Amino acid sequence: MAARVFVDANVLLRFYFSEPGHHRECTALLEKLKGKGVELWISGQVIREFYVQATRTQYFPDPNNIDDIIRIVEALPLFFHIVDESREARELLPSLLLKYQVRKLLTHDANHLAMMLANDIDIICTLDSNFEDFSDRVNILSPLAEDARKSEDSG
Amino acid sequence: MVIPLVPQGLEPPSQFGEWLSGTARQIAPLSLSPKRFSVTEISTFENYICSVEELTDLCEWIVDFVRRAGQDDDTALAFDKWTGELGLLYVFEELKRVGTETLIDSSADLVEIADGWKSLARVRIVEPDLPPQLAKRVIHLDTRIRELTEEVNRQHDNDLVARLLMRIGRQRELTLDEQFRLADAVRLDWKVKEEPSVRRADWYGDD
Repeated sequence: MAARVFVDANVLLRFYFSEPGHHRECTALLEKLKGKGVELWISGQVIREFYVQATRTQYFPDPNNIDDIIRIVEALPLFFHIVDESREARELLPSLLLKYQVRKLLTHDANHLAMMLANDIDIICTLDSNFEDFSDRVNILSPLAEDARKSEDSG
Repeated sequence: MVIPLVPQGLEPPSQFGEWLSGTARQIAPLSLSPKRFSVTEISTFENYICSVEELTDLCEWIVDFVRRAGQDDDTALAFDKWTGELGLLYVFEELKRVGTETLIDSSADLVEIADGWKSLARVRIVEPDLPPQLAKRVIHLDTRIRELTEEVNRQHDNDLVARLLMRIGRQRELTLDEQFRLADAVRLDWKVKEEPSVRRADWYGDD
């Protein structure tokens, strides 16, 4: 089976928007993984989170056309595999909530983790350090760390 | 059989449509002996301003022709000669004048046809190797589509590429290069007011 990486919404946003910081690092990493045959996975939750961020005037103030964002959403299945929330993932979630004593907003991260584990994915590509709370179950692949490693290699 | 030239003196657009449909009927039996169109004769096409409907009909007819051309070598050969002399690209140039969406949909139809043989070969309905005449035709189409997409106005390039690749993507898995090209085509360069937070906690708001 090909290696699988789950892509978080913060990386997805920077892959499809060229102006936010770390666009270059996120794009380079995803294209590199793709080129190596790694399967890139997202979920419905990631897509919704991406859309929420992309339509926030707090981040993108101009009166932009949401058609452009919807077109990205339509193109997602042609670049990423999309995992559906399965019964297995739903049944796994309570045990993760209990194990990590999850409360409040970390519940969303735990749900991502449940989706990943239910689909044999143990690597997440993210810029969010919150996932370090689950580091015994998931490996974090940061586009920034990858960029730093590359700099060290070339230096 | 001889395909008639565009009669001189026709008034656009309806008579052009009539001529077109009449020509289509004559070509349809596919016992083709394609008439050679001279540069002068082709240039007479340019004097006709066609409606979107007529050009769409024309394009659908061509696509149908191409589909049937895939069924046997004789038809494929006839089609190859015919496109070489009339020029699909020329027809698409006409379409480009009236709407890029139709143009791209038609291009995608042709890509779909070119991929059709490969799909049939995968399930062993046909031999993996294309019949020589058909292979030549596929190359012919690929080249024409490439020319077409390269010639499209740069201003609309990303829109067209995105539309084309998304349409193709519904028919088959995109190649890696196509996936990168699609991602690039839909990418947005909107100005940022405030750097988007990387933390999910900031997106949902805390209590």
